[in-house]
Amino acid sequence: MIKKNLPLILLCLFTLLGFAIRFYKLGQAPAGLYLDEAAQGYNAYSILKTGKDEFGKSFPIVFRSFRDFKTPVYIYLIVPLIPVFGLTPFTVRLPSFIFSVLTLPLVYYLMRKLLPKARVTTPLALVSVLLLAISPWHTLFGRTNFECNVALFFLLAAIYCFYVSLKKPSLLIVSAILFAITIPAYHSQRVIVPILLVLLFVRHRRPLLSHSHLRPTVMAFVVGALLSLPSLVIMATPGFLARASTLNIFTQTPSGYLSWYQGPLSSLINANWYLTSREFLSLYLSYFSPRNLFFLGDYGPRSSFPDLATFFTWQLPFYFYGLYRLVKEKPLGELRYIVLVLLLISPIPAAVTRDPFTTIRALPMVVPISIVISLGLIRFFQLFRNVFAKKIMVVGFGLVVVYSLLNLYSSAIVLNEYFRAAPWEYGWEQVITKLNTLDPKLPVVIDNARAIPYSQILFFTKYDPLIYQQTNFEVSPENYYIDLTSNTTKYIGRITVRSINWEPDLIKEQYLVGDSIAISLEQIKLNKMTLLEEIKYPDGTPAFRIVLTNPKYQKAIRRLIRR
Amino acid sequence: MKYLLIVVTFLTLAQWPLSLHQTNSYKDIINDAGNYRHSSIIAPDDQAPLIINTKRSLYSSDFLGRFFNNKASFIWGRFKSNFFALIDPNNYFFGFHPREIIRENLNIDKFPFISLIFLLYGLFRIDQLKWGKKLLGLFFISVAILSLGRFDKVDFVLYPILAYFIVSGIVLLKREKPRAFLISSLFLIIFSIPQYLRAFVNLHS
Repeated sequence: MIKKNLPLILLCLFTLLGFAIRFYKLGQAPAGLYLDEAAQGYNAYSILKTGKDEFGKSFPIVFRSFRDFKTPVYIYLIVPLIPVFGLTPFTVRLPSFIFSVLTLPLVYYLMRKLLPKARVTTPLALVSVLLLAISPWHTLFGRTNFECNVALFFLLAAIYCFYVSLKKPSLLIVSAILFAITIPAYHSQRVIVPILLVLLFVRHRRPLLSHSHLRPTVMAFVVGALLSLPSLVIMATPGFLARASTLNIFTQTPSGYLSWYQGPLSSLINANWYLTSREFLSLYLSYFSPRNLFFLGDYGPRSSFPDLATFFTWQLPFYFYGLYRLVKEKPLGELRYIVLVLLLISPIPAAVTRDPFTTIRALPMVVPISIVISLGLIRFFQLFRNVFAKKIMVVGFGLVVVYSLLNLYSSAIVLNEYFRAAPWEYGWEQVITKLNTLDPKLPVVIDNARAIPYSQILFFTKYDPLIYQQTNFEVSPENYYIDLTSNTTKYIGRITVRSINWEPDLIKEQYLVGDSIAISLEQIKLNKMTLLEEIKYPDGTPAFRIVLTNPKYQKAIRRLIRR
Repeated sequence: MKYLLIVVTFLTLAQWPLSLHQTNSYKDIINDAGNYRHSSIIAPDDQAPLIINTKRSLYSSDFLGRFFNNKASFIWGRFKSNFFALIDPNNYFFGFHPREIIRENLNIDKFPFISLIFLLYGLFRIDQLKWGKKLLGLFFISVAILSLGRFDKVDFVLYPILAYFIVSGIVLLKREKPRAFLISSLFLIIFSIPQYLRAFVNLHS
């Protein structure tokens, strides 16, 4: 009985492990709430309360956010969670956590579907789930508010339904709906999904165009196209295109351009086709680079953990061996095909942007790479015939998993809190808590010279969205997707978010809030201001200072100067 | 096809020696060898104890703090930095990332990037190569040895091994998949024109 159900028991155990890793201190670690997280949370709150986002647009297709557009799926997923859990960092990270955990059993069932031979697939699928559960790459996006994680779940679910539909044609429509949700769930899916759909159609054109499937295929196409239409229309708006053009490598001077060379061979030496192809291929290859995957990781402080790459170093030999086996082993059939396809197309959207290795845009790679490493591990294990050697290997693997868990804890919880507090914009919650204890009649100016903190202020004050929309008009609904100009000053009740203008600001009795550059200790001493609170990062350096101005002193000084 | 094979092989193998000649860096090898200890992974670092102690102090468990942050982990980190740079395909085919400057000699072009196809094919058919597995083992041993210190002026010792796999890939691809060989070769020749011109322009800059 136990032996029969062992795969299911192990799947539950590994999923539970993934759950525990992602749930531990969810909402508290990383400490702080990044502006994108706060903006998404507050916009969900605004939708819940008013049916409009912070700019007063009713149920947007994509959410205008700073000078960018945020994908809508994640924000709409937060909306029903707010009445239950409140507007907290835990709530805004919860959808990512839920879909990250759900991805684990989904990967197992997808692999079982792609390769039904239980003896071959079950161990491979279970090891893949285990590696995904402890993967630093997948864990990071499962603990923080990143839309890419939700998109990955929908992508895998859509693929799963597609393969089920080859026998049950009615499920094709479900697959089409899931693909249509995937596209607006994250920007890079706009590239991945169409390529994947073409490849799936070409590979399975015979069953899809057969008598039994033709009608569902046409219906699925129509449903998918209709659901995707709004997202595709938005992609053509000037605002959206402006953002895309600043990111991609094709619209700027290519890397390696020799500006000093103006000789007769300039058209060849600085050939755009050569330099751009070279840069694209280099970026593309960097997503397979062992150096990036197993040593450096993502350079972004919020998309990586300190001292930890996207995968553990011990997995490197199995990555190489797994890649070799994957290419060689044709009996792996459809599993081999999907793993190779996901592996090869997932880095494309990331490789057309300038960043050297961005794990957010290339997240779908985490699944095929985990499968590749698992394949390498299992095939390596099978090289040994001796039972004793196999037992030693199993024990060794168990120890390595324990080591990996400790390593993950060390980097994600201990070191991340200390070294990455500033990138996660730690301190705004403490600022609001302190401001709530101060004289409510006095106005507050929060400096935004080096940051855009208004979303965090709105989030932690839970400011009434209706009042905010009325007092902060920025763009009319018809120009919502076109005009990206934004107000630099925001009014949030008694709080004004703008750059501190010392001359007039000092002669008014008010609270000033800013970082250590905006409000230095010398400035406080010189102007005889009262330092009410210094909020510090975990490493002890000042994050924000809250001061009370001294207008009496200022007026006296100015009178003296005038004389 | 025979001449094409020669042209492709020449274009593939000439890049690294040309780049070395361009940088003249090999002339410093003797000087660098004298200072090897200072550039090795065990070279003393004044900042290391400070960083290690800061990290250790963050753990509630002293054992964990010491386990993940100690002198050995610091040296291991340096070794890994070198090792992963030496096994990175971007190192050999793109001089790392085009916008990434590592050290003076690491950014040189070593092989034309289209030749990556031949290297991958050579590795894919490793079973067919007489010396394939032994040379692959030798490659990783050499990489491990080079990773013990600053390697950017001596990594040329890996050239023969890589050249073996690439040339084997060229030969096998021509024999087994002539159409793929022809297409890859055409791309290689087209992309080699600006690449080699740039090398000569840099040579006289």
